[in-house]
Amino acid sequence: MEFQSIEDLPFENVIAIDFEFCGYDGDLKVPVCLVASNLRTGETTYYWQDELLSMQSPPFDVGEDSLIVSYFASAELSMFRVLKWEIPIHIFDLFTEFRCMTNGQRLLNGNGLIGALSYFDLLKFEPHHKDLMRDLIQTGGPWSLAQQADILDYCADDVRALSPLLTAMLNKKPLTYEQLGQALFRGRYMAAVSAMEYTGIPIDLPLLKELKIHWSGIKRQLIESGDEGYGVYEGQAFKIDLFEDYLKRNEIAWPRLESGRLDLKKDTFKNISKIEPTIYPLHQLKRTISELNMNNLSVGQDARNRCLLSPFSSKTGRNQPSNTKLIFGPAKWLRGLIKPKKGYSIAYCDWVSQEIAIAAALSDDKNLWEAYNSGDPYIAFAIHAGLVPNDATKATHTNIRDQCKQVVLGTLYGMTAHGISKRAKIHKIKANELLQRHREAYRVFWSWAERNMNKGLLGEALFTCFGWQIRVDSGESPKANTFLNWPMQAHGAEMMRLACCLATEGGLKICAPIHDALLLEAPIELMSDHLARLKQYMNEASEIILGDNKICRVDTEVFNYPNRYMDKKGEDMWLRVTTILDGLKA
Amino acid sequence: MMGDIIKPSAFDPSRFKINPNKQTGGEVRNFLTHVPVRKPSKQQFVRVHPGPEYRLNCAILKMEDDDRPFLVVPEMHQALGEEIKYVDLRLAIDRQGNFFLWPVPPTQNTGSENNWNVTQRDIANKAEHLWMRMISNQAISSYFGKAAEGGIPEPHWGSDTMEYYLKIAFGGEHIIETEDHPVIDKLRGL
Repeated sequence: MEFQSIEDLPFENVIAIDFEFCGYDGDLKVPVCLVASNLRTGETTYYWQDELLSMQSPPFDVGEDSLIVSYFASAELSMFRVLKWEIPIHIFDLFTEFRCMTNGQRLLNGNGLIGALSYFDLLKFEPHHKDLMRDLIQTGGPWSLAQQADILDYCADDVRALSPLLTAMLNKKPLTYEQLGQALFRGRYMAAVSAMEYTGIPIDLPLLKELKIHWSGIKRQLIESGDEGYGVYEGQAFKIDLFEDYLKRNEIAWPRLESGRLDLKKDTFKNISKIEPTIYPLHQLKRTISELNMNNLSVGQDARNRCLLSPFSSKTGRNQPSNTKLIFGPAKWLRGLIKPKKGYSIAYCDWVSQEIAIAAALSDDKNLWEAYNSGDPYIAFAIHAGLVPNDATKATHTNIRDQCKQVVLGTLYGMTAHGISKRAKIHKIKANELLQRHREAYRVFWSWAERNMNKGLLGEALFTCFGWQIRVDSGESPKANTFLNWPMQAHGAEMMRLACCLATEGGLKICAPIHDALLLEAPIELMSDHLARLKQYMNEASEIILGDNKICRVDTEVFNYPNRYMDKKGEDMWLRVTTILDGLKA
Repeated sequence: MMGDIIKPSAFDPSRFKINPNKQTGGEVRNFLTHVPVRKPSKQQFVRVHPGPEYRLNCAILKMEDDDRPFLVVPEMHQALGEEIKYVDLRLAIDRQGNFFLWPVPPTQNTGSENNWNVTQRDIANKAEHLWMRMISNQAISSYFGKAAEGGIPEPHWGSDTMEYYLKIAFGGEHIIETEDHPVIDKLRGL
């Protein structure tokens, strides 16, 4: 059975919708208008703000017999939440499906609605005066009657474009029964995204305001104290020549760009910090001084950090929220601003060694799964490779375990012996030997991983178990390691999406997904119950992805009011910043 | 229109979960472009194929200006006389999966044999079952072998025939089949 036109779709109603809304960054948005068009009957209805705010339920059926179609549905569904409307059961998001269809290709006009219309040669349906109308809507009103009519027309333009776009997509790639189910699952995740964006992350707003007021003074003092021992700042400027002197004095090798200049990228600092721990405080200081702009953090008046989670934005299908707007993006110490409100608690729940579990389960490498299931895949590898006795533990063989950890993790990214030798601080010959042992211990995994790499490089599509795909076309220059790691990341994303759906539909308050973790909020007295439920949902999601009886373990950390969230790596800097702040306030 | 078709449910993942490994493709075959004919280096752990079909008693000829030896067909042995060397050519593999042909000195039926040959043959035989390294000991004019400890897995030999490896090792130009081969001319000073 294939669905190749709107008429084929097994729903009584196929309803295309679009909202216009306004509001400041971080705040919940306010609906301005809604246009809905029944693609079966052709009937289009228009609703202005005052009507919407008085409605108890959507003005169309959102039950079992209806399919709701939109472009980037989480925005539309956020309005459903603001209006306290029932969330549709079946959502077909043309954005997620366009992303899925074209993932890996270079798109001339991006992956917004206009990009999709352009891809299918449907630009005649492009909404008119987009920027002008957006600016008008963002004024927040009041709007004259003529302006209201213009805004409704503009909104209707977006809706009018959805029908030909859906038709073109179904024509190009008719959906099988399974593929329609997979598309609806992605739509379901967009509803979960709207729930998480609605909830947001609780922030200590008074403290954030104080930090903003005193930020200039804090920065000055941070440099004074933080630059001691480095001597790389002049005023508030990081000086490359001074940094070069520091590296020479301390005999630290540093990567250079082709031009010969030192490579000062964030990731370079991050990577070198792992080899040279003395660099880490400077890395934190540099990020704090030059990159952090408190004003970019998107925090609403209700003290919640909210921004677009940008679902399906990365090639792996993971979310890609703004690194400056979401609190988990900037330097780690800033996460100390996350604080549950009075009477509440938050919990950070993450899957343990998720990528290893996925690699083992998908490749069906029993040795690798055994290693994961042992609870310590690194010592398990050391034992399997004959590097340590069978009764070895983390405590008895710390060094070799650390080396094996770099190998086990590095191989999932295609790390070379050179990279592993740097990370594990071992000779390249030793790293080569460990890599060889890994290939021998986990032959099934390697054979599977190499097949994936070959497929990707041959221009064939790789799929997840729920149909998210990547196919790199001829215009791109793919890297083999992209395809090596893609199945792990992409299935990690599927696992996270499923857990978010289960948790939000189960009534839990998920503040945000953070890579392979979820941030949960609950009243203190209910936290243990909610946490148990979330762990159950996460277990269920992992078993569905990995297969029967294969469950990815979950670690949790709970922070009760008045405690704040704290990342261990940011603790020192947090203490320094807040101490300076106290001094400045005194 | 939609009749009695059951709607796919976004809420029952088992209904649309697929096996990503069931997709075909990504199968590639390694094409060897070079099979060296040489002894293993002293730092290389190697295995020798134990099957009799993967050894060939033959004669080879090494020219000083060519790394690749020549395979000499029996009809040409007499013509080349002392220039050729009789070997037991054996398929071998190193830890990285690189194949090579090891020209092992064959057992001599008559006369005394030097220790280098005897010990080399002994190590090659042991390498049928153990990962071995062959190191020379000038003091006693012989090789000694080191067997790897630590449970290194068995090599993957694949299913290609000895003929396949011989073809890659010697190609068309490195087989001496007739007297008008340029190598014979060269040895005769022509």
